Amino acid sequence: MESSKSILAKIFAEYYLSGAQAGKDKQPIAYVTAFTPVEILRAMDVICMYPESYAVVCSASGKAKEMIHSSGMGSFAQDLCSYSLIDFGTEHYEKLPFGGLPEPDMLIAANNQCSTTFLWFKLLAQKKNIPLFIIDYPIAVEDQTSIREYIARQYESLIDFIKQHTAHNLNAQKLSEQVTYSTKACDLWLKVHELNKRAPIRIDAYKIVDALFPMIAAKGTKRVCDYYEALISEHQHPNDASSIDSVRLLWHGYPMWFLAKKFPGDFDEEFQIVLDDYTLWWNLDYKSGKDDIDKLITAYSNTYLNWPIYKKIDWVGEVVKEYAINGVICHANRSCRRALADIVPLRKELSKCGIPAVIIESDMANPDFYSKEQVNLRIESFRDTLRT
Amino acid sequence: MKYFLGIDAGSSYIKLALIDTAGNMTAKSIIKRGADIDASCRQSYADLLSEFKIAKDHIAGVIATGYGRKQVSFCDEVITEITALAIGGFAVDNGVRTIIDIGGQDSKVIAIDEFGKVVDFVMNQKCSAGTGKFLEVTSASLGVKVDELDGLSQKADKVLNLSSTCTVFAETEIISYIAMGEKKENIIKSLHSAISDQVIGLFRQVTMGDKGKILFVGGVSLNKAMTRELSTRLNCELLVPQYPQYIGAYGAALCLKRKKENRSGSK
Repeated sequence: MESSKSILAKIFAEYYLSGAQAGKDKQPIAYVTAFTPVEILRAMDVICMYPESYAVVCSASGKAKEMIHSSGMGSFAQDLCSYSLIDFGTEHYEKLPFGGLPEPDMLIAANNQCSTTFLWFKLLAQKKNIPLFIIDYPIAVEDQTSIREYIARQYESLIDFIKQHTAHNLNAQKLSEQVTYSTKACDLWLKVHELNKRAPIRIDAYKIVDALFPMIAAKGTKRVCDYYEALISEHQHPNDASSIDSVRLLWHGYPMWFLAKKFPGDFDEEFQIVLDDYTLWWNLDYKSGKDDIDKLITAYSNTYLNWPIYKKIDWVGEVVKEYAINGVICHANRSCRRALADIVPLRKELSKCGIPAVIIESDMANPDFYSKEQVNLRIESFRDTLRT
Repeated sequence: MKYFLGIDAGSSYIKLALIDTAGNMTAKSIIKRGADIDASCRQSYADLLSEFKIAKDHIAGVIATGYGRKQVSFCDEVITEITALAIGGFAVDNGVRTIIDIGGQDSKVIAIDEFGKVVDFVMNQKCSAGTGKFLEVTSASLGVKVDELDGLSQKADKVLNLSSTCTVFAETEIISYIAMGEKKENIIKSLHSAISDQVIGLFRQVTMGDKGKILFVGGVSLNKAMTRELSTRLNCELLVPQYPQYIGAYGAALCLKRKKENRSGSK
């Protein structure tokens, strides 16, 4: 079996090379936001690129600060979403990782993850003078009948929009293939997390964060499934069969990408993060629906950040139970208003259920909003609290 | 006689508390933090020993807490201020179930149980709103010394709308109020109210069963206007210990004493 490392390298290269190749093949490129139904776009031979994911790469490569300050030159407020600031900064920055993203032909924005990304994409559409399609997802309440109809009509319009701008038709067989692989990938993605369901953990929690990229960049392909199968098979056994009774922690929310592949704070086998629930947000339900489009509606209208707050709190509570979590570290990510607004009530509800939780304030991509000492103090104090 | 030294290397001041084997605080000192935390702590330690005529070999151990705890090179142990405050606060009065600490650059609310164990804590977020720094900066822009705050606050006849979320914005608003001819006393009263907003916000986030007695510690608790404001808002009396700035250092020293005693007891 090919190693997960080798498959990941190929997925990475293919994603960033696909833009250059698209230019040669005259294949249209769309910039999309997180949780856009890319299966539809890919079934219409559109290359999908994620500026948010690219902002993650910029942040992880240590360039975020410079890029964000560059974007300030364009008179953008520093307290906007750091992904968008990094993206705006790419215009003024020369040494971009992978040479930057290829120029898009169109923009597709959805508000099921972030309620402001479409404004960022609106600006891009004006600047680049290219068409923009916005998919509006109402908050996923219990009775979704009318919501589903509303989204279905938008998906029809999306298909028409792409057809109008590319002259490509929707290939039903390709769509079906995409949905099948997305479904399988999600099943496997859940199994990756479940490696850490019980002590001792099988896979470092940040390794799971790193393993998210294929789910975004190569969604709906067999390669993603191969990657997760390889990853699971490589981590069947714990590295250290230590019998230490560990305090098992859940990291709630976005990682801090600029910290170069780690969570902040000091952790060890006695006090360890077993899971970041942000990566579980990408485990979508593709199984409920009468046809492929209907399945996509289920998947994309039920994203974590599109849930009402009570559902989010219940879900985190379930994760805590399922993964035998002893404490939760909540990242109050100032860039993400939707996630930020839930943090205090979430902490309160967890506490009521006897699950201690601590809030640390920072940002997903902008290191200017990270204070190492303050964050470490909170985590260290939390450790003391759990230990005593 | 053996002693245990607790050092609270805070963001504004370095506090030292020396306790004897009975747990009594026998000596204390406070100095403004210098740029070199370790050097400041060393100097303060040497001064304390000299002032109270204690030989160094009578010191059974040194423990550091506070923001600069990891910079103290000569300590035997470090603990976080949450733990130190819980131990110190519970030792002051074992009926205490909640500790409010407003220090130079952070404020915190700690809930403890009937054994003095921390059950929950909340700290202010990254900015300095709701901390001693907020009061220091904003009162400086009024040309008022910190020890004048109480008297002036009592002469206020109204509370103004003031930002409770940002020191910089609050300072700008103060300048606007001064320009509009607003009474200094009213602005000062409003500053205390703004800090209370922040602290009450933290207080409400803490999960606690029995609220018990509320202990108010940290440098800001020396400001009676702040104690009064918080008491009114919480609708209860706050317990302010005799030396509220030293509770962290005292708690740390007690923690070290217990650890050493446990170790020697288990041998």
